[in-house]
Amino acid sequence: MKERFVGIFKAIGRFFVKLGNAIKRGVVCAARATGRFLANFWRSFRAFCGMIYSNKKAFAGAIILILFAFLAIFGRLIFPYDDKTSFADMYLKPSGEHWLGTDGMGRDLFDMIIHGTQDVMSIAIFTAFFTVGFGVLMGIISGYAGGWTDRIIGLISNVFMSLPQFPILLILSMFITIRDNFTLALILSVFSWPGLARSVRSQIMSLKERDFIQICSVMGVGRVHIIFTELLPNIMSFVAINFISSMKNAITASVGMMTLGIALFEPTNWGAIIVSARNSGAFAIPAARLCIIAPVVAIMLFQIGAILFSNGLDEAFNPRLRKN
Amino acid sequence: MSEFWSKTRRFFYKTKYFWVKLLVTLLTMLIVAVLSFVLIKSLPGDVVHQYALNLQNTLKVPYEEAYATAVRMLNYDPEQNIFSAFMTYLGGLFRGNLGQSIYLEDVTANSIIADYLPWTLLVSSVSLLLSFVIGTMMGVRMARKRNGATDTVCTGVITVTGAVPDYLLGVILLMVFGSVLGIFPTYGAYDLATVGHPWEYFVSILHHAALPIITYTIAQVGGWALMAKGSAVAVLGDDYVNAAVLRGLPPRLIERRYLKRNAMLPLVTSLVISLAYLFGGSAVMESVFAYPGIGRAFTTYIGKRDYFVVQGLFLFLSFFIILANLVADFLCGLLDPRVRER
Amino acid sequence: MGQDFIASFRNMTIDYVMKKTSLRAVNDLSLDIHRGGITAFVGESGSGKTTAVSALLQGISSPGKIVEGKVIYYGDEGEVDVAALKGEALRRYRWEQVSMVFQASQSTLNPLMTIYDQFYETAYYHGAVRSKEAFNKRLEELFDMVKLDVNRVRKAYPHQMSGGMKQRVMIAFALLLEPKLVILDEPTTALDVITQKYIFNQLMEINKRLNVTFLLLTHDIGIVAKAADYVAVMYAGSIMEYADVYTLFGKKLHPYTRGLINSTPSIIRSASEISPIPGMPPDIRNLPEGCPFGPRCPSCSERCRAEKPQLKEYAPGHWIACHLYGGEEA
Repeated sequence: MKERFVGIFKAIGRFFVKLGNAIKRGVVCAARATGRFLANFWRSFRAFCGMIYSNKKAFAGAIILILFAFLAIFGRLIFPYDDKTSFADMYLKPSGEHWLGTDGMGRDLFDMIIHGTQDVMSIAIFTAFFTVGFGVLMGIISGYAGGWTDRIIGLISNVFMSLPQFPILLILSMFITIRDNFTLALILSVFSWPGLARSVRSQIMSLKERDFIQICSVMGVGRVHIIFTELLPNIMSFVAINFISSMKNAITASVGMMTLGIALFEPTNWGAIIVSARNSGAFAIPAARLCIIAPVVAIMLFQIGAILFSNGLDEAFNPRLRKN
Repeated sequence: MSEFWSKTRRFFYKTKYFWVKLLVTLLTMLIVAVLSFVLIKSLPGDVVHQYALNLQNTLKVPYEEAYATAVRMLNYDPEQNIFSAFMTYLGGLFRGNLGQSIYLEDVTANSIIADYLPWTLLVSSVSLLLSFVIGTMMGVRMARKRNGATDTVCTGVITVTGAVPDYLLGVILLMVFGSVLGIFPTYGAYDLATVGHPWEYFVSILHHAALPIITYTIAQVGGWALMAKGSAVAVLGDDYVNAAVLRGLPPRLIERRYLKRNAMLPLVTSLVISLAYLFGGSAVMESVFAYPGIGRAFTTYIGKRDYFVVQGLFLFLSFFIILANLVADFLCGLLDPRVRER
Repeated sequence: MGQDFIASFRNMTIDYVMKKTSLRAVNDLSLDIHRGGITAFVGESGSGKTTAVSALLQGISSPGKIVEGKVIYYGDEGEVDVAALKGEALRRYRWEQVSMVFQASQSTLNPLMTIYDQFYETAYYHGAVRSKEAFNKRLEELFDMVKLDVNRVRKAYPHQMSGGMKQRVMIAFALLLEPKLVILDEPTTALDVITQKYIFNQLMEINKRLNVTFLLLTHDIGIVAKAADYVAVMYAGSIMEYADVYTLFGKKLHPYTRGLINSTPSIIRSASEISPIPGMPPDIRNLPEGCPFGPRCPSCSERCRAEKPQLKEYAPGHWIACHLYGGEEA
């Protein structure tokens, strides 16, 4: 009897030792893989920065984008925004006190735009994050797995691509009340991932055929490992380009939704400034036209930055486009 | 007999590309119909009941008859199980009934399409044609003289126009030409006063459509130019163009048969697909210009929560895009022998 | 002149002119090409052989330009200054007098047209189609020559054929208008050894039978020894040695020629005798002051470093550019 217990305990002990070893091995393996991934990532990140610096377009775009990021983070501290309304100060002309004048409710336009940067940027970044995350994930899965997985993901993205995007957003808005930027971003990204997934898939397909990946799989390196350490760094520039352009598209779409009054918004969001100025008849009041022009210029500037940056990156990484 | 079968089989095998595409298209359409049905299914069940009660009052018929009419008009019977309800729904679609307004008796999705689509088509087809022609000409010229002054200027202009979302461009143009300068009207598709005078009516329509057309054209021209440029640059770099030159073919033939044909190929697909998107109109654009197009109608009925009309319009737009994709694929297969055999 | 020779390069210099710099791809090249034979241009890639020879078709890829010298073609109506040809005359000259099998033959066919259409089109615009039947017969004859099944190929699109088939189609294409001179630019690099051998046998047969002149561009010494009648060895844009194939291979005078031959594996030589040429292929952006081969030459002297040797006739029909064989005077 006693011996039996001892036997069971020993077995359990052995099991735990084995489990421990397995976990240890797993952790070491994972740590190594992460380390290698980070090292690769860091290497390609540095090459990436070098590329941006050497390409004039990308550099100009990067500066504009960094400026906007800076405004989004620190803008509210530097230019505190006062949301007190006073109709006596309605549509004031630009002056030393109000750099861009005031809006229809007497608020300082310049401060509003700075304040709104954070809102606009957060929608754009959330959307880009979801889009790229989901798109890349789906692209990698379908490109790497192939076969039926590939076909099904292909069909799904085909369906999503052939649905008219804006009407669907409108329909969704009947059922879902968009209360925060997070939801808005999620909804916007639902329809922008398939295109990205498709191109990531084809990138992965062509990468898979390259020698070094073939060698990796012949040498018995694990799939996940290949994806993280070899494939991802290779499509990084591509992903960066798409991140920026989906930010750009997100701004276009979100402001459009505000124009239609589907999405709720902060009053300082650039789109909201335009919409409320238009609704209060700013067209007819010469002094109020700035309330439309200023946010449009802000949007334009950001979009130009995004276009320059992504085109520059494309040029730097795509040798076919490089000028001789 | 066996020869007939083998011939048929060979025929199907040879045209495999088309059949696969057709199948995928039908499948996609079915999925969209299911989505649309789910939209209705998720409505509170008494919509049909309410509608039947309305009918009972207006038509003075017994409830059962009113209910049957309601089901026929709305394509939906909440009391059936899910499968037969879907069949009812599909049956209604095949009859050409896209959806009945639950608030207004004489308004259906079909009547809305008939009323609003022509305006959308007028504006968007003209602007698509303009932007395509101007854009491709620009693009090919840019590709020809790369790094020249034209290229630099065009790229700059395209970057700026591409940076402004189309409807904001519309807002700016509307403000400048509509409100400040007063050259163009700021809302509507025609002047009510001109109805009955054909010539004035026609001019009024053009006058109202001008600003939306200009906006659309400016907004789209850059995209076409870039696409045409990319395609033409790729073809110009291809060996077969140079080889054709060295083979002593006439330059004009090379231009036509080697350069343009090969460079236009990817653009044809995009053209067909954007033609389909045109049917949807742009809800935002049309609301900026207060133009009575289909996109605006869509927004309006969404605002009214008129579910059956909304799903009908949605279905119509989606089917158009799906079919256009099919047409684009077929065209691509007809024009490019490489695609056919994939 | 026109009797013995079909074309001449006279002090031809070709530069690739770019915004800031210009590269000298071909440097003061002079050569007469024998009518009827197979003349081979041998050299490593980047030695300027393709650039030099494509001047015969006025086909130097931009931004290359002939900055000095001439290319002359001896046609039936006398001398033709190829670089001066323009418009319709140039168009008719191309492919009717001189044709070419391109290096990247795989992609030189229009992917959207059938082989038949492309052949017909070319023949049509050169006025070579008398009737549909005659053309079809000619096509059959051509494809027969390169051992292709005419019924299988004529309706095919380029992507439906294998590399070897395309290569043979291109050879047939080059012969379509019965030109006097055909340039074969690495005609077999994309092919496997068996097809290579086969195609060369056919090419040699065609050369003898139709009395066409072939200009063969290659870096494969084995092929040269097998097929060529005359050989020009090129290095960094200049001709190093030119002679008929027996003299060249028999004497192996020029150090570079010797290096080339010795670095090629052969059945009758043991592997240990293979010796690669030391050093790196030349960088035409900064060539040395004197002899371009100097830095890699085993017998390089002070003079070689200071002064570029000129191509001189060492023995009748044997030209060589090397200070070792140039005689005493500078």
